[in-house]
Amino acid sequence: MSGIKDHVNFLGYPLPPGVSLLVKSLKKYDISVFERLVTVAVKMSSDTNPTNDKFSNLTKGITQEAINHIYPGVCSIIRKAMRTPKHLLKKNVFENDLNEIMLPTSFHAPLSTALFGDARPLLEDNAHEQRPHVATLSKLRWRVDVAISNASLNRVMEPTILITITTDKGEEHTLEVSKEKFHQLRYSVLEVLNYMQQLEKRSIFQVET
Amino acid sequence: MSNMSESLFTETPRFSKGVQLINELDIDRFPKLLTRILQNLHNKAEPAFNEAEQVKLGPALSLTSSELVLVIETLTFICQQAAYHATKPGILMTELEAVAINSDKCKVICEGWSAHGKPTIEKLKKHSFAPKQLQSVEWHLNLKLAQDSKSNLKEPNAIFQLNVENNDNDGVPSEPVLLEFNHSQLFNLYNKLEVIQSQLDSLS
Repeated sequence: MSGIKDHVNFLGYPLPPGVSLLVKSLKKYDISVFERLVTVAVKMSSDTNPTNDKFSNLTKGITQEAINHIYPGVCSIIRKAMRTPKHLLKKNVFENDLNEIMLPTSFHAPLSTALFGDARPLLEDNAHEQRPHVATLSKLRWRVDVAISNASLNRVMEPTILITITTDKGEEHTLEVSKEKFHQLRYSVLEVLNYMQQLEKRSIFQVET
Repeated sequence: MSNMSESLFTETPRFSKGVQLINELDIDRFPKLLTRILQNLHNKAEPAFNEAEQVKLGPALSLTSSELVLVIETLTFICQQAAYHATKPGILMTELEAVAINSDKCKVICEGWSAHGKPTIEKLKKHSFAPKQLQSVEWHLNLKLAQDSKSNLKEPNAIFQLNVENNDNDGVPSEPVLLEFNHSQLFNLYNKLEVIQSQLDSLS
């Protein structure tokens, strides 16, 4: 009776087409070509603005045929490995999975170094950057003013706050906030923080899926 | 020694004419007229009485339309000056008598001022013409489970909507400001707000 495996290959079934092609064509190529293309793939995936020109520069001297056979597969492997949470895909599991898809052992090293070495944080950062999101706050500058008098009143003595919000999408908003609205804002922020903390304490957070 | 330099009201000919007309007004309708003017003092954009009301009011007070305008203007001016100097009712009474307004009308004005003066001044204090003002804050809290580049996430994510009132081009509503925060970003924002709050506290 064949055992039902607990573990599912991180690449999934069926294999992404690029990966099947990679495995089939790899015998024709030298390890150095493979290493270079792995480096290219890591560079392009860590780049916030990958362009065709950058790609052409990096792949100078490699035949188009080699690129076609190797590059898509390598990209798929990197992307799928990044997607799986770290605790589920440790280095030995990764290498076992590569063996399972019959990638020759000599070709494991460049991929392992890319995914479990220094380049990993850069890949993670870029994956985080590229996610779809609403603008986040990158800078908040503020000042507190006290209006001493205005055209209608000789003595006002009313504090107001002026804030400039700069978002990571480059928008800039300057708003005036009265004391009451500022308290509303502060209260809302505190309320949400409270909810977040409560949420993180709950049991689903303690269990790592 | 004349007290003119300390007086709230400079007696221009137009002002004196206004005072004269006010003195001639029927005392019964006077309080309501005054109350309306006081309540509208902070609202510079709209006059206390719109066109239709002015048309009806003129004959009711036995005034021509230009006389009515003058009466409303004079009363508005009196209220504005009282607000500007944050005059107490007692002093206001003295000032009004000094410009020869009948004592029964003075009494009504001072009573109106005692009742409505403070709220009017408060509203005028809050008045600001900054181009964009924060109106309200709305939010919702999500739990991020996955994205295309990462599976198995468990990250709380809050989206805040800051509704902004646009004072610049009336009629063009400002778009609300949308901001996303995870736990640490929200905590940073909270710290910044605390610094601002401590500044506000040190003022009072």
